[in-house]
Amino acid sequence: MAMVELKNIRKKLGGVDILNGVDLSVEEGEVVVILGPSGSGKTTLLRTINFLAPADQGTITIDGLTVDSQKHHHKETLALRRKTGMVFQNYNLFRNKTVLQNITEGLTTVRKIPHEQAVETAMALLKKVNLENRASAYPAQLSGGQQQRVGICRALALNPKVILFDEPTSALDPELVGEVLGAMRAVAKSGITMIVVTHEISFARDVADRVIYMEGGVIVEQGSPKEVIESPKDERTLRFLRSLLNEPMEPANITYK
Amino acid sequence: MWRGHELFISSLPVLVEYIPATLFYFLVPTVISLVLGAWICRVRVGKKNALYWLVSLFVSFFRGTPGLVQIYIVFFGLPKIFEPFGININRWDAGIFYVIATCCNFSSFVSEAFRGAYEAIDKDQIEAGYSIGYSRWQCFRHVIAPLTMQIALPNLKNLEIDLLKGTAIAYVIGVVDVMGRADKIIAQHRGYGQIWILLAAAILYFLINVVIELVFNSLTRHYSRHERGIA
Amino acid sequence: MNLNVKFMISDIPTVLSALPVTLELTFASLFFAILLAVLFGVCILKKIPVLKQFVIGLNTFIKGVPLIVQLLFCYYALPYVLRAFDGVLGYTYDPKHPSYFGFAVVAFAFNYGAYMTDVVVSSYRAVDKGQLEAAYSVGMSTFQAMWRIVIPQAVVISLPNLSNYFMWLLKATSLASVVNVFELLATARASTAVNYAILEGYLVAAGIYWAVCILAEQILKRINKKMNRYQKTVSAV
Repeated sequence: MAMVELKNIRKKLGGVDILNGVDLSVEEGEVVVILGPSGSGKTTLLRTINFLAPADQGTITIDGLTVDSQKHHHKETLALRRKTGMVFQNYNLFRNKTVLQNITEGLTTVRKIPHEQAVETAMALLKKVNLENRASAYPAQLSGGQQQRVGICRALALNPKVILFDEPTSALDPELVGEVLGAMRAVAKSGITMIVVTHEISFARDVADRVIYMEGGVIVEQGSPKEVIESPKDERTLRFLRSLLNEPMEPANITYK
Repeated sequence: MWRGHELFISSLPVLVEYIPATLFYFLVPTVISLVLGAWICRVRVGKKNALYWLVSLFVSFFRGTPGLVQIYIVFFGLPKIFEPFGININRWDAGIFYVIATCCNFSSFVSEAFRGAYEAIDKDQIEAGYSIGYSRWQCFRHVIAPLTMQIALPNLKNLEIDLLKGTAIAYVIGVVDVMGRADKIIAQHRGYGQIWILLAAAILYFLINVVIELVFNSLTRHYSRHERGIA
Repeated sequence: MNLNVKFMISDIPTVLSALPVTLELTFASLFFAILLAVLFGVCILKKIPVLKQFVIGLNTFIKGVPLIVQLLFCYYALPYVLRAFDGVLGYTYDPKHPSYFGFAVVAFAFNYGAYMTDVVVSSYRAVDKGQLEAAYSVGMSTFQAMWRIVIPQAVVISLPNLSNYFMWLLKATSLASVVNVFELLATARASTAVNYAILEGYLVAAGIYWAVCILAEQILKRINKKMNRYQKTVSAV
């Protein structure tokens, strides 16, 4: 049984069809990378999974729990969210809490785990990303890369079944991207299911088990990184990859619709 | 309580007659304070010499004490200043004292609004002005002044509305404007119907404020017309 | 200019003795104003039909009418309201000792409440939506997310404006002297009844207000700095 199963996800935003019937199935421990141009719906798709932006239609199943987008109860949404973790493009660390508190907040408030245990878990995670000496700092005092690593710890602390990454490095200065990708690689190695929306092709090539290309609210093609990135089957995938890698477009390979 | 309604309706036309008086006590301080306030602002962003400290003291006093107290001090104090010279100004209309006190008060607040706006101007704009050869006066006229106005306008709008509402206090020293007349009516009907008379005055003040808001909204649009992006 | 300085100095403690009344008036009004502002703010933010329009209409009217008119209105109208409650839940209306202080607080609370509603609404809206999303993403309920993450941040954002309104309120309490409340200004005026040194009395009052305002400003600046230590300041409004 798949860890994450999305069936027929549809969503309109401001009258425009952002998601036009997406089906997705992710196995446990799989690392899935979603590529696509802006407006393709990839970020929106990610947010329908933890109901931050509920879909208009379709069902979400995580670890056996199925929730229907059309009729869902607040309790169901909460239960679903407690199986997921999310890492945001703008980190979204709690500004009024320290680094340590950011990680323990979910544990003590949501899971009702005793304070000492939560601190232990948090410090262990911070050690893994080399930030244990910044535990009592506030997010405003950290660099973007550091904040994002804390964000990853926060998501990991709750032992989610799947972690959703929403363009985790897009807001970072180039020299800081590497440290975050490194942390993400470590997370992938640990065997947690990951769904990552990103522009970092190198990450997709090296770490992903499966690469998905989305455009116009649908999945255009998917397969192993080798298949999709090096020999894409679809015109649109090719065009997107070319634009990303800044290769000159060969006229012969472009068909104008 | 239909007699109350009657009182409301009968007071309205009487009070409306005094709207020009209220507007007078609003417009005169406005004009004077905008000029005085601009000058004060100029001093406060300049060199820290004796004038700067004197003016800063002035601003601190008029911003740090209640308007009512300032009105009383000017009302009772100004005559005393002229006494040793043998000039008796006690027979001056109470309105003059109100205008003087209010100008000192209002120009202090206006100068702070201008100062905040001036300090918020992107310095690049001024540099650009000099780089194309503007003289100091031209730079002020074409770059600094319009930008200061644009940034200060929201604050100025609120200050002006406060100024208008502040005119209602003038009746305590005997000025006869809308509130002054309302006070007289209340005295005539001792013990009855005060709330209806006050309601009539309230509505008039409210309507005048609506007009001021509309004026400022169009001023804001004018000064921000360059900010409108591609529709 | 001959100023009775000797009297002024002797008058200081007399006038100062009314400072607590002014401060009580300020804090009581501030408390109820904030209460009203939060209530009204919730109506606006939650877009509660009818209530939202009513609140906006009420506040617009209050903001367009002079404070002195509102003070006088409460002064004349509230006794009627209290009389209507005579006998309810053991309350007896005493027409000989109306609570002028209370009437003034009601007027100030509604007046400043109207302005503070804007502060509440804009501070809440100034909190980055991502904070709420992050709270949801770790599984917090709406209540937990609001109470632990969003509201604390909104309060800090509102502090500069709140400080401003505190200073305004402190000075506005002087208007209560017109409606029979014996705060600082009224006391200063009364203290000159014996020797007609009216100007000197007002100068003493002005001096005390000035000193209190400067002190309050310093204290508020310090509080603002402390509360903002962990935030790059985001200013609302």
